[in-house]
Amino acid sequence: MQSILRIRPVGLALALAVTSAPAAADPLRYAEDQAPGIVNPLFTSTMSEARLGELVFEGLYTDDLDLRTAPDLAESAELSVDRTELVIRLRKDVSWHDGEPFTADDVVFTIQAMKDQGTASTEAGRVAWIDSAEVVDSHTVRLRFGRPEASPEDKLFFKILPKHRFDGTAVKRTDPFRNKPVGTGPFALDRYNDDGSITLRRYEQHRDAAGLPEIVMREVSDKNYQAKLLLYESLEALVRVLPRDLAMLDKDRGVELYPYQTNSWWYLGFNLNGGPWADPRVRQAIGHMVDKEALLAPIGTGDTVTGPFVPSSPFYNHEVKARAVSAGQASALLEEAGYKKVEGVWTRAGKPLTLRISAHKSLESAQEVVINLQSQLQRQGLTVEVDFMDEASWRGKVWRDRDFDVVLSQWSFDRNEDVREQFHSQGSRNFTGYASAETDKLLDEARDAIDPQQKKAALRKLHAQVHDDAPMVFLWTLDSYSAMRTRVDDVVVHPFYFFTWADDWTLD
Amino acid sequence: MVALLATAVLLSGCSGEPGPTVDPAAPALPDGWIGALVADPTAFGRVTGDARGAWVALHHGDLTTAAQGFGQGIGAHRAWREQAELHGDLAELSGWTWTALHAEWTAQDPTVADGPLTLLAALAAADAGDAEGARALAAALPPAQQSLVDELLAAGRADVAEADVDVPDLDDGGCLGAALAARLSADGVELPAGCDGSAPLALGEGEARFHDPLLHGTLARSAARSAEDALGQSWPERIAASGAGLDDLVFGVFWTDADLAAYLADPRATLSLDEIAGWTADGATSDDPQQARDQARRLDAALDAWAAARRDGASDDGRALLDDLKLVPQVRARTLERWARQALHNGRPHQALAWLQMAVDLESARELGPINRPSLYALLAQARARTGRTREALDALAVLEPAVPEVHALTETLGDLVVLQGMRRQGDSKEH
Repeated sequence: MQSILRIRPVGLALALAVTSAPAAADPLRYAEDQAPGIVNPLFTSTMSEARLGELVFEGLYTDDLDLRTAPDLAESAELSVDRTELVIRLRKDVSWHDGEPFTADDVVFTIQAMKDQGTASTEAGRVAWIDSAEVVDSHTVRLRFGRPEASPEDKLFFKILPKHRFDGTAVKRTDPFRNKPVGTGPFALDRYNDDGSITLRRYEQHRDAAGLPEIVMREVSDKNYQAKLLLYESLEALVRVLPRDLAMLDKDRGVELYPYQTNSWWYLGFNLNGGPWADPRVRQAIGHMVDKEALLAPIGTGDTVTGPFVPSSPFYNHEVKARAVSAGQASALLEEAGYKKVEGVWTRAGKPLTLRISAHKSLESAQEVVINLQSQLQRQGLTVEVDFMDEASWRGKVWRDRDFDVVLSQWSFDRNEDVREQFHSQGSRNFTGYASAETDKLLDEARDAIDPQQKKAALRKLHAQVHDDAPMVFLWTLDSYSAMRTRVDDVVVHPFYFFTWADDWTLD
Repeated sequence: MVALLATAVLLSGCSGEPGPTVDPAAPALPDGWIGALVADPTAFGRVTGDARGAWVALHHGDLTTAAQGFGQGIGAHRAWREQAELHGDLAELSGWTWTALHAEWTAQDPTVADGPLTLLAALAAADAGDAEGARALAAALPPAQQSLVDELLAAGRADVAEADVDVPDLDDGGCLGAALAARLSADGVELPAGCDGSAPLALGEGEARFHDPLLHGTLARSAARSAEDALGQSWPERIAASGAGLDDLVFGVFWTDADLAAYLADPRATLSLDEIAGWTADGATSDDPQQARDQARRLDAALDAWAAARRDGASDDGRALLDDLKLVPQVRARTLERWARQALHNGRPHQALAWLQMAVDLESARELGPINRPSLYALLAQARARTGRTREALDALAVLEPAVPEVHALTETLGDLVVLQGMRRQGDSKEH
């Protein structure tokens, strides 16, 4: 990917003069806090990557406007009587953006690539339930499952990749495909622009030719600047608006706000792979030191949380009480863990308790939160360092090397709010190293439940369990809205993937 | 003068922007009580007088406090009416939820139909006025339970003066039986203490834990009766004899005398927005959300122009009253709410959803207030649920629950449905 030339507020007047008041045939321009680091669905890990992927790629199935499972690249399917085999007939009117025909080979290749350990796909968990995939004919595939599946179509939403663009099923993250993606979706990636933006053009051969001729993704890391660009018509859409900007944008009759609920929560995640943070008493003590309300107030309105769900979730355990902000309780826990306060600093064996807070540079308002948090913890006797990382450092240090003390980050979930990958000891997204037999048991119980009330009960117990174990300090959830100029018509926003129905959108 | 809130420019008219334009098809909107107060803001203090606390509660959507504060008269009537409407909307959502829960659960596990789920779903559908759905569900029940569903449907009809029903022992801890007795008897509709939806029904060992499906329908009828009692006979007679005063319009939230008269003639005209609603009613037959947004923008243009004209001739206090009490945005939100309710009744949930999302006051989207009325969130939950956004419907109920704790029962039931709908799907999560 080309280097990103971030647009800064300094250039506001010039930028507005050059780019405002687009003509009707102009593109829809939207802002992301951070440009996608990679445009390869095998390695999608952030929301900005998922959103762009939604425009470029397609799955076998998708959501219709009422969020029911509907065929996308699939045409029809037949489930065997014992429910362990699904034969899918594929559409024949689909071609890749490079003109090659879409075939059953592509489907089988995608599943095999996701499952290939040499790929190390972040999405591997989404096909773990498929035992095998085979080509029946050019437009028919057969999937076999390890155990009966009541409605396997509901799990076939992952994006399909073109086999002919890869050398084998072991795909590297650095494969050139990452910035030269070829999909079957309604928009094709056209070019990376000098200002760091990405232009997508309508794929004219798509069976449902999109209403928008072009879409341009601009990376604008400053949320205030994003809002100004929208108000001055230099952008048509903001994916996420900060809660504090909602009222201002709502007053502008040229702007429409759309709820975009991603079931997101912020957290401080400890590195449990050794060091002081492996001791739950130390983590719980930090929990008593963090004044969440004070951290939240400057960045907007939201609800604080005590566990890994948002409060409106059916899995949220409202009986779990938040840890009180209490220097006394924090001190008692640290003393129990062998620490002493020497000249106002917590130490053990003569060494100060030092905490390095790592955060991704693009996380909205992260700097404000981290600085306030640093101040809160230092006042209570911790030595605190701060590390803001770019995407490459984040992937390397946090995900690959586990080189961190605590991260400030955010998880977003679709409507299933499935936290298994984050908290199961074998979870693919469990980078903190959290391992609890009780938690694993509850996650298994929730996964295997056929009674919704049993699943609710198991996950409410899990909420209490992870609150007690404190692998994370669960912080808050924020109101989530997107904003668009009113000249963007026919908008329906998918509650998680955002652009699922963007091919229906039009510009006045 | 009421203690004014922090000044905020709530309507369009930010400096440097063009003023609102009016759709030529728009009628000249009447001054009404809002215009009267803006022209003479000192009247507001005189009107609210001793009832100031009750009016503030009504203004902020705290309907229970408002009803208690007013005690009797049009203010109390208004507060009870809004509660009746709220619980009526929630009863509709309850009916939809139980029907969907029954369909989803029995599809995944047919043995569930052998338990109380089918009867409860049938009762909920009947309570929501879905006679067809209720009878379809009841067809699988034993005759005695079918009769119960039929009687509940009959009791909802205006021409049934009195029902003499033997409520069977449902071994439910008393609440469902009490709700049924209350609904099927002419004597009253009060529920016993503890039957507030906070705990599930006790339907036997090992059974799933279900909540009372009749709770909101029963509360709606109870509130409607209280509304009737609060108004009494004397108030309509006085209005008929000597006309309405400004206090009648302010406390009753009738925009004009004509609106109040229309309401007295037909209480189903629950809001004073007939003129606007009539002007913008489109007779839409499609469920196109873009059409709904365009219609709302025409409403905005008309209200902006109306507000700008009132503001031009007003004193500083008059302008502050208009803005700080959010009077025009309230009119806008109630109009959108009304359109949405009609759209839901007419099978256009996507349009309803568009209007309701536009109606929410985003300055405090998670709180009830002058614009974010309780019924707005009840309707929003229904519109979301009926467009497949069941998980997001829970977000709307979560805003409501602190002020209307009875919603807990419906939240749990809808939560069961959300979980069921997700059980066969593959979850997804991403960073940031």
